[in-house]
Parts: sequence; C-alpha cells; structure tokens
Amino acid sequence: MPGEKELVNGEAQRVGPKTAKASQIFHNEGKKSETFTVDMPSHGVAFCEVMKILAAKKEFCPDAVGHRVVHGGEIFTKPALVKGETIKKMEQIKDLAPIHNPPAIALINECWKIYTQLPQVMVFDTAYHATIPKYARTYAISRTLSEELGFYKYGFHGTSHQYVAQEAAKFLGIKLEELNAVSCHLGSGGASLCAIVKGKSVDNTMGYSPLAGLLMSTRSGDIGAAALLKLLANFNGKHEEVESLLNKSSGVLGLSGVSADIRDILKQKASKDESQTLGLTANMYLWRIKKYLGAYMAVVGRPAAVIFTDTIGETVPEVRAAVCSDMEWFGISIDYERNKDKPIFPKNVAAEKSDVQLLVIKTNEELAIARESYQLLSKKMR
Amino acid sequence: MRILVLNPSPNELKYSLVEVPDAVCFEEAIKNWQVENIIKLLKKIKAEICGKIDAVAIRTAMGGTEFKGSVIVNNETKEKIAKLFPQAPMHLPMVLNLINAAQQTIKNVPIALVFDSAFFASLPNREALYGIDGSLSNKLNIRRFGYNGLFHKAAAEEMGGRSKIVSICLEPRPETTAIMYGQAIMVSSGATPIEGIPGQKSCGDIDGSIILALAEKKGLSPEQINIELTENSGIKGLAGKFMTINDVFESKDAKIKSIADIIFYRILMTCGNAIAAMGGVDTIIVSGRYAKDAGKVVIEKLKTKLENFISKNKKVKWEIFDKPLNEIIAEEAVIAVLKNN
Repeated sequence: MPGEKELVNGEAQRVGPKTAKASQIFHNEGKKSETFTVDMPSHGVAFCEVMKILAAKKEFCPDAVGHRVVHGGEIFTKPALVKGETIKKMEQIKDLAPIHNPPAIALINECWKIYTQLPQVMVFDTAYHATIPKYARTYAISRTLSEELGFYKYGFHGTSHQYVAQEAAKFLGIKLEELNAVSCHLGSGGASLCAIVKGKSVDNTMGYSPLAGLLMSTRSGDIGAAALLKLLANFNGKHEEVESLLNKSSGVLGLSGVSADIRDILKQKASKDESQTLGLTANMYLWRIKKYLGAYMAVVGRPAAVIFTDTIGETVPEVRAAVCSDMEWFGISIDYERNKDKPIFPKNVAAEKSDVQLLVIKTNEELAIARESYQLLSKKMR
Repeated sequence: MRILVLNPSPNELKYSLVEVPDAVCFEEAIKNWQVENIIKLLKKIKAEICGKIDAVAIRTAMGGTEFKGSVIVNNETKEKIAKLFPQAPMHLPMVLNLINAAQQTIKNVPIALVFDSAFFASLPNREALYGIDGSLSNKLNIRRFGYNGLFHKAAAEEMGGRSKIVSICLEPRPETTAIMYGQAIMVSSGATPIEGIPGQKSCGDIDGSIILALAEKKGLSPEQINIELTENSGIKGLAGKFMTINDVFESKDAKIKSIADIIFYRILMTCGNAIAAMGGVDTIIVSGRYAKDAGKVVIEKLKTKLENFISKNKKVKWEIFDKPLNEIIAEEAVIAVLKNN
C-alpha cells in the first residue's frame, strides 16, 4: 500500500454483557492516549462509539472499513467486498467459528445499516490457506461425511502468516512468489505453523478447527482419536464438556496446572518444579513446535527462511533457540548471541553458515487487513 | 528350536511353526475366544504339526509401560496381564484365554509373550503424553504407544550400531518411529494404532473437533464414532471400497493415486518429525508386509522430496527390511527362552 502509516489504534474492552468493571475504549493517537468509558452492550454499539471518536478529526474519517472474519469456510476464499449477496452468504458461515464469526457479522450488519456509503471489506483468517493442496487438506475419513459436514483443513492465522511472508520476502530482497519458508506464528494464546511454497500457503498446523496442531495456552493441540473418545466416554458423551476441556482448560494451563502463559512456565521451571510438571510442559511445548518444523521443512523442500512471529515468536529468544537447536540437518543454524539481542524488527538471527535464514518479524494483522482491503478496493475502482 | 507362533485377532488365529530361520504358516478362523474353544483349536493344530514344539510365542499388541520386553509366562505374568485389561479391553482377555488354553494343551513348554508395544514402553513423556491435565491422562490411561514395535526393533537391530534411524512400518496401519541409539523417541501412532498415518480402514491423525462434530451433528456415540474411524475410514473411506496399501501405491488410476498422495504426504511429515526429533538421520528403513512393493515407491518419493537436505548432509542409507512377522516373533521368543534358563 503506498504511503502506509498507522494514524490511530485502540481497543474497546468488555464489549457485551455487563461485567464487574466498566466497558472502556483505550484510544491511541501517536504518543497520546485517551480512555473513554461508555456502555457497549454489543459490537455494533462499540463500532459506533469508535466512529464517534474518529469523527472528532476530519483526517480520521475512514474511506473504507476492513473487517477481520476468522472463518470464511469454502464460500469465502479471498477478501470480499460487502454487498447485497454477501450478507446472505455470511449467514451460512456464521456458525463455522461460533465464538468469533457472529460478532464480526453483527458488526458488518450494523455498519451496513448506518454507514451505507462506506465500502466494507471482509478479510478472512482462513483465506490464505485456500491454496493448501487437496492431499493436505483432505482427512482420511468417509468422503460422504466430509462433503456433508465440511470436514476439511481450513487453517487459521492466515492473515498473519501472509503478512510476515510478504515482509520476509521484502527483507530477503525477493518477490513474494519466490519465497519458500516455514512461518511460526507463536502467540500467547493460539499458535500455528504454516508451510509456504512460492509465496502461497501449502499447509497449516491448525485444521478444521483451531484446536489442532501445537500445544497452546489453553488448547491441547493434536489429540489422538482414541484419546478423545476415551474423554468423551468419561464425560458420558457430553461433547460440549469435552470441547470446553480441550479448548479452555488444556494446553499449557492444563499440563502445568499453574499458568496458561508459557513465559511463566519457562521462568518458573528452573526453581519451583518438584513434580517436574513445569519441565514437562515446557518440553512438550517446544517438542511439538520442533517436530512440526521438521515436517514442514520436508514439505517445503528448499526453504529459504524460517519466520518467527507474534508475542512468543517475537519476544522469547529461549523458544527460538530451543526450536532451532540440533536442526543443522535441515540447514538451520541459529546465532545464539544475535538471538538474545534486544528486539529490533525485522531481524535475522541465523548464523553465518546457516543455509536457512531465521527471521524474527513483528506481525500486524490490522495493517495486513488494511493492505488486503486497499488491494481489493483499488482493483474494483479501476 | 521350533517355536509355535500364535497371532490372535478377534476373528482369527494365525499360527506358524518356525524353525528359525524356516517357517510354516497357517490361519484358522475362530468363532469365539472361550478357553474350551481355543483348546479344541490348539489340539487340532498340535495334531497337524509333526514333531516337537520347543516353545510357544504369543503375539500381544499391548503390554502398557509394564512390559518393556518379551517375557516367559508365569503366574505373575498372568496377573499383570489381567490388570492391564482396561488398556486393551478386546485384545488382552483374548490373550489370557490363549495362554491358559496353551498351558493346557501344549504342556511343559515355555510360553513367551511378545509385545508390539514393548519397544515403546520407555518413550519420553514429552512424546508419549497429550496436552491435557496429567491426572486425566493417568485416570483414563491416555498415552501414546507404538504398535509395530516388533518390526521396528528387528529392523533397527538389523542395522546395528549406534545411529539415528527413521523406521517406517508399512502394515495395514502404517507407523513411523525415530530410533536414536536403539531407543524409540518419537512415534506416529497414538493411544491406539488408528492414530498417525491413515491406514487401510483407519483415519490416522484427525482434528479432534471433527470427532466432537460427529457426536454433535450426527448424534453418534463414542462406540459408533470409534467404529467409523477404525473400520470405515482410511483408504476404505476415501476409495469407497477396501484396498490395500500396495493396491493404492501401485495403481495407475488418477483417483486412487490421489489417495496414495494423501498417505504419502502423511508419511513424509512423519519423516520430518522423526528427523527433527533426532537432529538428523543415518538410515531410513521400511519394514512390514508392504515393504517390498509399496515400500519401494515410498522410498523413491522420499528421496525426491528430501533431496535438497540429503545432498548437504552425510549420506543416508535406504533399506527395505522384509523379514516376515512370524520369524521376528519367533526370534524374540528364542531370546526370551534363552534368557530365562
């Protein structure tokens, strides 16, 4: 996008039903910060309040709105302009991500009603992964079942993986279509790896849902069918309870019993680990990333880079060091000193002799959504 | 030494008399695994076999973390097996009845239990456990095991020495393991053999949410889902009919080839897992009944996909290990008998 510059940013917190504390908007304009306390019983109302704040200055009135929508299903495989027909299609994808999609769609509807002249673009977490080949996105179960219920690998964090892929290509001085890499989006909540060939996603560790793949803050990650069926039987077939267990009380929290944040575990395991659960938690967290990195290096074939991004990937050198150690067979050689240096982004922490560059790149989903929206709208305007 | 090898499964008893290294193999259908019925069958087998039986070896799929190697049966063994019933509620009672029947029909002869799982009994916790509360894992015995340990162990021993081996077992439920200096440190299978690489009827790794969706949207019970994922998935689920691993990898039909692509892709990823687990690889060895045919195709495809890395490292040895299972079991039994005297 020409002349990219973030003008304002902010967060509306405690949107929805009333909580113990008041709902507030934390608004930042350069170095200035302001807090607005205002009732926001829905995302639609929150949106209107944000628009009021922006309306205060003429140069902050938006020309378009870019919406993050987590799950586009098989209907939306690239960014889409919101117009008459799309509203109907959006109803079909509402339940694909039952916690995330409904608020996004409510927001879009609200905006559509009030700001009728404002172009809106939907950008989907799953869209970047639309290029995952059939042999990687198909589950080995009855095709009838898969077709009936949409059991395919959709993949997530697509916007982030695509963004850091673009930034990595820039850093390496090549075109995006020339980039082969493995991207590691390691957040303090969710996490996933993405295999990238010629700039396109060819696999993602999340799958039909964000439950699959790595050990995450409260999600179990990969869990075998038999193990899950034992859990289901244990809970008398109550799938909601098992879903809740696996998504909200497993992962780093479930294993450690102490914290959902791997940083806490890494800090504490040296000193307070009598039953060795903290050590096990840290080891399992790192082991899963390392194994998947090996798998995706094999999938990509001739990778130029491994990218680390999001909170843990960007700010925890210990994780990068552990994941990259003993990986020389794949051409990965980390410079432990450079890796520990103060963070300036983007940076390359690979050793001189490393075949594969090890890039630490700050993700920016909002900027990525803005870029995608701009691309779509400028195409439409020609 | 002549070993009578007994390989039980729900509807069948495969048996073979192995005079290491030669073997004679049979299969008998069996209606039920009540001790009286097994005794009848064993008496029939004994009559058909001319000459001595020096030992009996029983292939046992699951021994938990309790059994780290083959053992000669005594009363304590039988108690330990009974305690393990919850871990393999279909298989182990069958094995115990087989032991009792064998003790009654083939007297005064050592009976060896040879475990598929034993090679994986010491799998490190970071590999063996799932990302759920440890107390739940303990209560429900949820832990990863390998199910083709006999093939992997024999293949690794064939290679000898201290090295890093990726061992791929091509059986109806394929399995990859990383064997580092003789110790398995990673395996693609899970709490049961339906996890990992998709098989002829089994789903392999699958997003847990899909299982929950089957419960929610199709109202299936855990037992029903288990049957679906164990008997109607894998190649059968994708092709709409039963086909073997060999059929699929040797087919020229575009639709069937696409199924081979899915399975190969998963095998490729498990190789990547294994090499990352060990920090390199010296040998990639393929075993199991499909090693000689599908195995050759898999090796060629792996060589192509891993070419870039292989060219920059010490040379990788590629091997096909086609020793049949009954010989492997007999050899394990021989070792157990020798150690016992």
